Amino acid sequence: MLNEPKIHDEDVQMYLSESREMIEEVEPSLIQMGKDENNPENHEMINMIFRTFHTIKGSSSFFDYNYIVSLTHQAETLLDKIRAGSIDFKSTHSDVLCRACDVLNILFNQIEKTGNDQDFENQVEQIIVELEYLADIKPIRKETKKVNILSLDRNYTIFFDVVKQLIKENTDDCRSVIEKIKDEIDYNYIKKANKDVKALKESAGLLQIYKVKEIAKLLEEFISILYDHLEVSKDELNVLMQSFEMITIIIEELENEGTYDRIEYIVEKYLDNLSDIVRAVKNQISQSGEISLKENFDHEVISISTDMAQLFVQEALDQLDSIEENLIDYLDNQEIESVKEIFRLFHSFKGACGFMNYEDPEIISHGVETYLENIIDKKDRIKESHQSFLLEIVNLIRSVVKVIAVKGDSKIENRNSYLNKIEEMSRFEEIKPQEIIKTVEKEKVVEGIKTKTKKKVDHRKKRQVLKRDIRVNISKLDELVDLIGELVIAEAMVINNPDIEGFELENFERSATHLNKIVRDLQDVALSVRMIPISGIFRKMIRLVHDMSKKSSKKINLKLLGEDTEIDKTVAELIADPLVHLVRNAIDHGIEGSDERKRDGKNEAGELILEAKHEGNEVWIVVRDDGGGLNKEKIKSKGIEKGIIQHDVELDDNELYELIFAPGISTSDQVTEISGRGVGMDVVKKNIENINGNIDVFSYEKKGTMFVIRIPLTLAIIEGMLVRVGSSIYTIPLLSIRESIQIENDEVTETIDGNEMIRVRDELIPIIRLHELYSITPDFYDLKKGLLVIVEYHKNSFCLFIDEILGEQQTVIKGMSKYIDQVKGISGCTILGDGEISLILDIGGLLKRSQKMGTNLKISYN
Amino acid sequence: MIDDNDMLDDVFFSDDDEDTQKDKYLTFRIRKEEYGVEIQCVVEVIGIMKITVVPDMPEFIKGVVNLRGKVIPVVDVRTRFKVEFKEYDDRTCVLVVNINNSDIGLVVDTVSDVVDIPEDSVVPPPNIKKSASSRFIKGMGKLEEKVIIILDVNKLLYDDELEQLSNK
Repeated sequence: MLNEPKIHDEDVQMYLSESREMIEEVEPSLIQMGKDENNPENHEMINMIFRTFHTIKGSSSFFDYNYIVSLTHQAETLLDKIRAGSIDFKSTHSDVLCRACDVLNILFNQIEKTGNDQDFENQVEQIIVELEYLADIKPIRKETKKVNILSLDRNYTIFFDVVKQLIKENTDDCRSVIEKIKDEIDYNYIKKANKDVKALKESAGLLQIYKVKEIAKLLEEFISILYDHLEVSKDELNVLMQSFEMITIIIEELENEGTYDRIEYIVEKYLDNLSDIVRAVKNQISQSGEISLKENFDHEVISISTDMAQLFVQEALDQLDSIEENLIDYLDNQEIESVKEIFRLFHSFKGACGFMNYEDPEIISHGVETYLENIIDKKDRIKESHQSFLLEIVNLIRSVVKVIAVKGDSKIENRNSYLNKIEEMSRFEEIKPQEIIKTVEKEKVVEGIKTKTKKKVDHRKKRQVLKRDIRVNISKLDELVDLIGELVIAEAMVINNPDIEGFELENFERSATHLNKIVRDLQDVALSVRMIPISGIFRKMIRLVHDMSKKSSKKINLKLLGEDTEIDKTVAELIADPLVHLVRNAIDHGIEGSDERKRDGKNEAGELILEAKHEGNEVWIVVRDDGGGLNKEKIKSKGIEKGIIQHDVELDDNELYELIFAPGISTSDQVTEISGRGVGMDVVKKNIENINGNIDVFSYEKKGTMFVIRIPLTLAIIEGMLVRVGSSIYTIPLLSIRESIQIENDEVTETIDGNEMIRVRDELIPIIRLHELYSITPDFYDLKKGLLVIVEYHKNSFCLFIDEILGEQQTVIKGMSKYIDQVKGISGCTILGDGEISLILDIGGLLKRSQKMGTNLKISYN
Repeated sequence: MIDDNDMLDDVFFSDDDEDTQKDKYLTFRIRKEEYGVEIQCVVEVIGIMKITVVPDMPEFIKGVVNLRGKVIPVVDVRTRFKVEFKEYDDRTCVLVVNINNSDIGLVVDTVSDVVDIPEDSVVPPPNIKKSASSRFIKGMGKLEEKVIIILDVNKLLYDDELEQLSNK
């Protein structure tokens, strides 16, 4: 427990005030609900109250206030049942819950005084018992055939009255519903009847009036038959009605005498009679070849708000991703920690499913959980075949979650076969305990997770570590960034306000500097918020590569480089699909089979490299394999066949490679099989172009293929160098700058056609005068007075002539307006600290532009 | 100046209803003529601010301005009408309009008023003089004491010249 974080007083105070506030909110709702049991709004309120108790439970468990935890837990259970519709909400519930709130308040006071929640065990226990009763968790006394109310505690007597009331109410409800069915058979009535009978059965169970419970049970069966076959004779319905009379008699007898011994004989006889009838009806139906599906009733679908469902889906997908990652990690390192993590993830996923009532995934993850628990307890290993099966399950669950996202349906078709397999795995695991000793030595973890309490503690710690991020709507982030932009400008306006110009304001200056610093920091933070590291996408590829290499039985070494390269979130979402395509193609077609590789003298395992980096004002994502490369001949012949290129046209390599993106070719099986590439390449290209990106192909026969996806940094942050020409300020991406120089005398030579070149060391570099290019009036026309910035694009270097360098700045690229469209040589703009706009130079575009202008650029290398 | 803007803001934001904005026009002056644009497409009116010149643009696109963190292009209406350029001064306004989901600023001599011009007092533009500005005219709004030239903002911004540019 050394790692247990120290609890501070402030935290407790915060916890107390929060919890009190929550209880304060809950109470009025409870009371309102108690006043009007049938208000349709109750459902929403119950959800709210449920969440509140849940929250309190969570925070209390963090502080180890166990009494509060168990109390809130019990309340939660009851509310959950109400919510799910298995118990109807009654005013008695709200009474008890209100009292629970009172007790909670007492406990909070106690905590404030003494620092713990002890000394009120009695109250807590009493209320817990009451809650348990209402929720029908378990009967308090073991099988007492006769109920003797008088012998019970005083507390319980009060309670029995409550429950008895419940039974009466339920009986009445049922009767009225059945009466309606008599007149008109309607699904809704039957459904209602089923619910009421169930409630009746449960409350009878609470009081251990077993006869009533049995009657209710038979009724339930009867009604479920009704549900499937909307035929019922008058006689049968009369029997139903009789049962209610019987129940009323029993209750009355109980009330007067304390037992129903006197009438037991009659009840017994009636029961026999009823069960005969039910059986008869059942037989009749099964003869007609139909089976009653009682299940239909059990899944009372509670309405789940779409928000909740969305959140669930998002979280579930994240969890599944982590599970997968851990599984694959486990493949490599065989560490029990990974298993524990997987276990935890499955556990929380299961919890979420349970909460949302997605039964099938819940059951499956429960099965997996049990299996993993076994392994953790025994310090066993997950066998390889099991690992792949687990991966399969993860996939299965993921697809279900996706279905949930679209349709809200959580059915898994062959759920049971999966379950059986999971069970089989667990059983198999049990037979080989000898492994334990080995692993015990390896693992020096003291006494794994065995007891429940320990597990809980472990869980909690983990959660604290993980809970470092929250989900925020991206439009809010944009708003934040914009607002901060405004703040920066407003700040500049205040500080440089003409009204205060010329005054000696020492204090003001000091505060202004302070403000300035804070605003800068704020801006930095805001800008970084939208950016996410690309690692998330790259990690997904680990799984893909794993699967693909298994499927194609090729060994692949995947290397990820530049995982922490940050890209804009929107871009990240859009780039994932094309990347999957490329990776799949690389493995499927690019990397050769091991035989061929051996023959070519390559390493048997193919190498696949995924790399991300900032290059100039672009993000480059590189997918590189060391496979066979593209087959130019085949591409060409296919291109001719499809009529995309002319027969006699000579294409250089680049133009040829471009062909693989043409739709006609990409879909052709033949080319894919022989030449190696093409499936969906047109889609890849389109997707990338959608985000204003580019894709380049480089291929070397027998050596491999490389795809370079280049995405402009719209909205991405770059390091830029601010330079001034006349009154204009431009930003040059720092990454494309090689150096800046001031020339002294005769390094400049002029070519015949009027182009200036400068010799830097052994290189002759052309000069572009920015003021000429953009027709600005500069401070200097003389090259010696200004500065030259040497920039580089794709190994082409040139100099930009500017007036001066203002400094470096981290800038956010903003796209130019749609109206202006794209300007050659400008990749976007950025807003400077004082609100002024600085255009960002696009070095590649500049090169092309200056070439077009006749500045004949000849790059020479010595 | 600032007061003017506030007043206009009130008009724009208090009744955002389509219906209440119908037949309402924001009028501004270029030289001596008074022009009107439908108020639905006007986002706000700001004073002239520093314009960053963007290279390679048609003459009438003066550059971009920073509108509270948003970079929007500005079009000089005088230049667009091929009227002689006038130095910007205190009365020069930028009318921010939203066309095709993008904000664009229009530089005008001065913003004057918001007026109601019922549909039946709008007549088609006279077809006599083919001036540079006549193709941007949607109609003439007759008010009691004056005539307001109603502009087709879409044409003003997107007509031919710019298309040629983007086709290049």
